[in-house]
Amino acid sequence: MSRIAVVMDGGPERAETTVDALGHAAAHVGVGLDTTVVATDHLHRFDVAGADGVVIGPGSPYRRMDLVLETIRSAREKGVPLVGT
Amino acid sequence: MLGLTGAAHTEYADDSHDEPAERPIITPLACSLRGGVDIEVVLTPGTVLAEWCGTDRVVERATCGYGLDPARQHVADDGGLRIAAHEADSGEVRAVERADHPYFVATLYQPQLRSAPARAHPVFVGLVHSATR
Repeated sequence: MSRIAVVMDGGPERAETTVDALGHAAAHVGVGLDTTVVATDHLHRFDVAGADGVVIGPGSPYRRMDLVLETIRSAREKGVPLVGT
Repeated sequence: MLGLTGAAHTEYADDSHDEPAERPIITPLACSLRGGVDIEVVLTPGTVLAEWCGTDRVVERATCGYGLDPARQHVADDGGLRIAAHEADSGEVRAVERADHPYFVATLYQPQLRSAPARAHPVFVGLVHSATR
C-alpha cells in the first residue's frame, strides 16, 4: 500500500489526470494506492511524514505558495519521496 | 538551499514595492507552453530520472508557463540539486533531482499527461515504487 498526497488547488476534478497517472503506476508496480488531494490552503493541517509520497501538482499560481514550499522542504528533509510537476 | 537571497518567482511578484527587493529566478519561458506542447527532452545519464525512464531521450507534454531564468540555469546543478533533463531544442533545464534523497524529482513538463493504463509513466512508477513500504 502506498499513501500518496497530491498537492494542488482546484479540487478533485483538476487533480484527476494526476491521480489517474498514480493509479497507472500503482497497477504497474502491483501495489494498492491511497491518494488524497490536499489544497494548498489546507497544507497547514497536512503532515508530510504521514504520507508515503507526495506529488506537487501543476496549477500555479498556488493559493499558498509559502505552504507549498514548506511542504517541499519538509519532504526533502524527512526523506519522503516527492515528484513536482 | 542554494544560498540565494531574494529568489523570487515572476508570477508571484509583488508590485507594491518601489524598489525591487526580490530577484526573479523563475521567469516566463521564451516559448510559451501554455496550452501544451510536446517537447523533446534529453535525460542526464546516471540520474534517477534516466534510470527509471530507461532511455536518454523522451518526448513529454509541457504546459508550463514559467521556467528557470535562462541566465541562471546553473543553479539547477548546485546546492544538492542536479540537472536530470534539458530540452533538446533550447538546452534549458527541464528536470532536476536530488542525489541525497530516496526519490526527489521535479519536472518542467507534465508526465501525467502522457500516462495511460497500459503505459504508466516512469516518473510516477518510480515515485510509487519508492513510496511503497
